[in-house]
Amino acid sequence: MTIAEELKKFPLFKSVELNELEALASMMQQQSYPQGAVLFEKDQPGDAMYLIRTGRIRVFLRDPQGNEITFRHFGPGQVVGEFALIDDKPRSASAEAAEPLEVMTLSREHFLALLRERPILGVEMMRNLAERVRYTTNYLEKLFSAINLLVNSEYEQAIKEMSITTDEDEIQNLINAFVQMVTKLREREAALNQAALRSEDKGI
Amino acid sequence: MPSTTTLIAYVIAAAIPAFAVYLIQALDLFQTAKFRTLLICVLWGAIGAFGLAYVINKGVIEQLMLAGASRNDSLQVVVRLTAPIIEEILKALILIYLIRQPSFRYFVDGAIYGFGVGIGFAVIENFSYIGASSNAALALAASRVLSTSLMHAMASAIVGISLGRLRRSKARLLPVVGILLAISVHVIYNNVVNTLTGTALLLVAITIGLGGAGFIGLQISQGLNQEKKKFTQTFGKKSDVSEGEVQTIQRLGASHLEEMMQQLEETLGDANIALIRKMLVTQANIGILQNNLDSGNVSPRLRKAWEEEIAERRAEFLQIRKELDRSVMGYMQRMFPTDDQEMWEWLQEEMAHYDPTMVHTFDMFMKTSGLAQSFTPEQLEAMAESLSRIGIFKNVSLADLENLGRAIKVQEYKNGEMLFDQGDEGDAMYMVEEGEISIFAVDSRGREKPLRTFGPGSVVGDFAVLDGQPRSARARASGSLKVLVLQRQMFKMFIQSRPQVILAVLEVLADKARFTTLSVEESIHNLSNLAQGDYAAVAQLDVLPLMAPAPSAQPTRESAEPEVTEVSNVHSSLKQAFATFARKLQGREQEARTRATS
Repeated sequence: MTIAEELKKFPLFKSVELNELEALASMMQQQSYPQGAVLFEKDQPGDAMYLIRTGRIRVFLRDPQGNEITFRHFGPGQVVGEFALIDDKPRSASAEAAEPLEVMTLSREHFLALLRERPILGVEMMRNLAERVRYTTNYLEKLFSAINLLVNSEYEQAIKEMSITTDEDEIQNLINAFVQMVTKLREREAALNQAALRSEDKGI
Repeated sequence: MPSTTTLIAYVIAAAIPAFAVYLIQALDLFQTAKFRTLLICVLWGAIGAFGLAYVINKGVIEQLMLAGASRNDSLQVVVRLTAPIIEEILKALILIYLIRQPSFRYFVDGAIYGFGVGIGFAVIENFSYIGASSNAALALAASRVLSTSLMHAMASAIVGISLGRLRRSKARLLPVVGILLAISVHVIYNNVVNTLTGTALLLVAITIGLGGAGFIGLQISQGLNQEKKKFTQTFGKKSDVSEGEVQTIQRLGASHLEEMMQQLEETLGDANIALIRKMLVTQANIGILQNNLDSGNVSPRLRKAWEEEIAERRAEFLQIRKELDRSVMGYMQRMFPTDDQEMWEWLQEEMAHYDPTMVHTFDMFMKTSGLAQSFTPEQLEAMAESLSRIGIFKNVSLADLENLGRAIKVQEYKNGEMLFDQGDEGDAMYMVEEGEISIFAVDSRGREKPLRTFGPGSVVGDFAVLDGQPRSARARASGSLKVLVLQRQMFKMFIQSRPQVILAVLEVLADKARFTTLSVEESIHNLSNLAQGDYAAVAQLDVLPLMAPAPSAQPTRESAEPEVTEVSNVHSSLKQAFATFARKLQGREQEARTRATS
């Protein structure tokens, strides 16, 4: 698969024409990192996007106590730091190579130059991004109502609210985590209730 | 040992033609001909064509003598008839090969390469004549350089021009005509110089030679004029009525400019074409902005922004000009003279069809539709201020928003009238001026369930102009309603040639997307904590500071898509819900444990 075709798989570039993506791909640079190498730290200026060819990237945050909280692992064919292309906001999390890593990077500077030459690229990205924000926000709202249902122990209803499959990796992870949590909770609650019942039986 | 005069004669016979080749190469205004190819042509003329011609001519003389003709008669037949035929065909061979190569783009290339072949041939031929008559070497050299050399060059140049024209023409016989013409010139010349003597010979020979060079020059100039005429026709408006319907129909769909670009690409090559495209776009935009200024009753802010952009585009134009070969620039100036107003107007229109994403089509539309006149400059300035309070436009410059504001329309609705229905294409954004918009969810039985109401100052459907997604709810006027409407179509047309606006909107979206992503990640983290029974961490959520930074707070207009709630609101209510839920779970488990141990 060419780099342009790989790029086409990302939500950000989904509806961008392949020949536009080829122009983008031609501006990318190959880089490799040994395991454990830091790609960027939280609060550093974000100036590049990483497209993983081989290996894995771990994205993490540190809690107030300094413990690392791993948010996510990214694998081959996935992209990290795409928004750094659009704004030069500081990184919102840190990233390191979880395995020996080979990436293609695209700098903000190159991206902006291309955007000036081919604004259509930006128009398509805009549409994708808007759709994505809309979609994700919808799901977060669904999660909100599902959690409220759980507060009242309406498990079935809550699962129904959330358990829909989606094409978006990000959302699918959320759904999976939700379903897993509900399953675990019910098991635990059932076990506790049984223990309580047993003890009450004994009590009688 | 050759005498000094013979030596000088050789030098003249070689240097002057060499200088002529250099000159024609330098004069090639368009420099599409490659120097290397030209050199190959000269060498082919000097070695390949001359060598073969020498052998064949000699063979013909021998055959004629074998057939019983006297040596002198045979020589006369060869010089007056067969040699011109054989030599012209041999010289043309390399040109026939070259016409298939990408370096041979059009007839000017053909003329130059042909000239090269002819000169190459003539130099060696002249050498052989000088060698044969050492006593009159100098005069011979001088006269031949000005006559025979030019004749040879002209004859092959004619062949080159005819081949070059074939690339753009359907007349398959052109090259045959070219070769026949070259042969005729050569035959006539040889017959004339073999008949005349003395000063007359010299005068006629030089006249033919120089006249030939002039003829080639004329051909090139005429060819270029034809080229220009053709482009002018390609632009459409003046296109020949006599061209016939077939061709007109064939042209439908394909942009005229595209056709022109293809032709130019053949002539000037890919790299130059990319630059020329950029240059035409830049020129078109300068013209459009100039029109804006000329026709506009606009605020000083917008006027200044346009003037600044014109200055920027001019600088861009100069930069492209620097990058373009000076030669190509010469060609462009001849084809598209800056003072040809009418042509540039077509060009703008054509560019808008051909490259709509780069040209300010929005401004062209504003001019032709007259839509721009519906607001006063003061109203537009106020409009820009209100637009900038809408989240997605907060990073867009006021001047740009003022320009965009020209496309906004005022619309009025009666109480209960529908603005859009659930499932409709999201094709516009509404800003409430007076009255209210009520949003309803419509269930499968068609019953309306009221969701929200938007009053004056609020915005409905801002995301629709970005993504055009179907409406997820129904909107009705509640009371008599006055709204400002921005069509998605207009917005798209506006931004597509303005990367700075695109980037400004992308920044806001990226900010939101970053936040939703973090919100999702955080939720996953909370869910897995809950799954592992770690309720305490989640129960603290509404007390602890945010893990994800909220998007920069800014006084924004109350803005919402009925379906897109402000992300930060969702985020904080979600956190609340998580904390409440975790505390509830803590309580429940506590209770169950107490029951279990009691």
